[in-house]
Amino acid sequence: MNRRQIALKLVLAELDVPATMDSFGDRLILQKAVYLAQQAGIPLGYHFCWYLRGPYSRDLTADAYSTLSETPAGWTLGEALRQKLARLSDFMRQLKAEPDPVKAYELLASVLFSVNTGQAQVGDCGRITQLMRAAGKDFTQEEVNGAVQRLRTHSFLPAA
Amino acid sequence: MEPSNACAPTRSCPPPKFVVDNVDGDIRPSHLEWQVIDTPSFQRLRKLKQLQMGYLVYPNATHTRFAHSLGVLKVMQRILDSGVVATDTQREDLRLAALLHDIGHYPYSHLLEGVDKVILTEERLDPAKEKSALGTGPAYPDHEDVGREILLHQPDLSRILGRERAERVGHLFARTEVADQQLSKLIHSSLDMDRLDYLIRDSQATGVPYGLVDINYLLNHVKQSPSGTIGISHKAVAAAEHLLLARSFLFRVVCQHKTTYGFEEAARQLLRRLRDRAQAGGEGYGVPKDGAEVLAIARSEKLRTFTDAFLDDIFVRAASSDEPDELIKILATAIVSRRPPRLIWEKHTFRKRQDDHNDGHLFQQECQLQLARLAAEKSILPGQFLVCDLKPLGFESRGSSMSKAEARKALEESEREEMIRVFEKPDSVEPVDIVDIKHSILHEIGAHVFRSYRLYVVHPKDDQDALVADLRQAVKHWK
Repeated sequence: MNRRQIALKLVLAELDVPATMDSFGDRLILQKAVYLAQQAGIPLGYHFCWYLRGPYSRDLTADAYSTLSETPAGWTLGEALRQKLARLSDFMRQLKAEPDPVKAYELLASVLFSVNTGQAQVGDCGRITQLMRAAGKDFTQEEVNGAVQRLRTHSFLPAA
Repeated sequence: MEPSNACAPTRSCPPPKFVVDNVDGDIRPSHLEWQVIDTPSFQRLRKLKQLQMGYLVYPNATHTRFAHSLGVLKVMQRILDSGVVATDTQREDLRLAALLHDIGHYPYSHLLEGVDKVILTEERLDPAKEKSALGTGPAYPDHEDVGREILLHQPDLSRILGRERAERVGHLFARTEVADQQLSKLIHSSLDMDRLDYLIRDSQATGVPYGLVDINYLLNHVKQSPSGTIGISHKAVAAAEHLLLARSFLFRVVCQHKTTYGFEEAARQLLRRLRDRAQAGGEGYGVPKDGAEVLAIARSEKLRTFTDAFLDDIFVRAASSDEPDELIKILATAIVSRRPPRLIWEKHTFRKRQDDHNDGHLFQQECQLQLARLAAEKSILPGQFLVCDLKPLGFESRGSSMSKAEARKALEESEREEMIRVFEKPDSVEPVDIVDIKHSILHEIGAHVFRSYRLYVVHPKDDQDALVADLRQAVKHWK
């Protein structure tokens, strides 16, 4: 187990994201939760590619499998990061309570990825929707608008 | 306007020059590709060794990311020539992505890039002591992210490529393009073919023959499905099996060679200590404090000196008599003077991935129980021990770390591009993963991983044989 794998396990625990890989939904939520956490300033350092369901990290998948059954001892994240994670954890609890949390995570992470990689402007929801459709996603413009608004509210994107 | 690839290599318009490569034969970059190759940003790759510290064991393993990048361009050309459906622009971009895929590598590649993952020996030995798993600054970015930064901000490259194309190519090799499914499959499955080049190149340079795969046969049997996935014909299953076994053998024998790995672990421990000291305001000899500093280097003229020599200089400075930290000096001296860390204990396992956690726990427990005491008895610093839990080596599964069953469970269609795919029958429309072919060796052993656990001691003096013998005796009962 390396130091980043230990950090991953601690971050997932703080975010209350189950470190389980049993279903596709579990794995998708884990990927998108870590992507959102990194974008919020949790320095795990995973490289995220674009796969068919949005941002995805191969190393994260491998690390998640490596860390599932191990419990690190003596390791912490530091107070500043824990406070940041507590705020994120509230946000992720809201996502978990949605009727379709997997879709909520996929939508938010995908929209944020398209903006943060410079493929769409923050306010250009039309372009974002167009990109999502080209990538085979069925998000409506209203859903994309809502996602941008939500990402702004939670400081993932700059306010309008 | 975007600069055009005005003179693509055709019979009527031959390129002005070509490269004769010992692995891939004649490589014929286009006019635009030659312009890219001739930039200082690309020439930097001549100063990055492909096999990190492998040259300390295999004297000829000094080949570079430069040669490998040209080789991957050739592999891409052959894939594109095999009937792959792509537009002219996509072809040009994919060739450039192949050429530029390693442009963001760090000095000694993964040695410096992975510094955030390093656990110091004393952190391993004292489970009760509180320690931080994450730094406060940004982590070192992946070399693909560094590569995109270079492409977009180094004037030599952005001037030649133009902003739009630089962005497109950066997205291709970092695989960040929000692309349609067909293009996404083409990108992932074609760019992962870069192992075809490095296996042979590394084999030839080291003299270790396991990596000599049948690249011609494989590339002559590349096919593309209607949905865009690249795979190989059923005729090439044996060649693909050889490729996957070869990769595992080569990693085990070359990358995880006991001496090479010992040096590299000493370097990782040294770099993490220097980085931590720099973050605390002390002397880090130039080791970047965090990811922001790495990206700043990628954008600046400093990039030209961000080569293996950058770390060599750090090692020399850390080994000097002015260095106040005894452990830092010992680790650096071992590297600079080529005093290999000595292997004290080692265990190998080959079992199903999900069954091998216990070995790591046992090893960790033995180290925690005994190494502090042994260090005190032998008057050495605990940090002179290198506790190594090596990366598991699988055959065909993501990250070489997941079993076949895990991989199949984990990898939905969207997550599987990296695997070798086979058109199982002459009339198969879509390829399947090689592990799913019942008559393939990989079907049986794909669930297994090879794994090593090692304990080294670093001692910069010549008369270490007695110490090493004593330590070996002390740990010989470890299971």
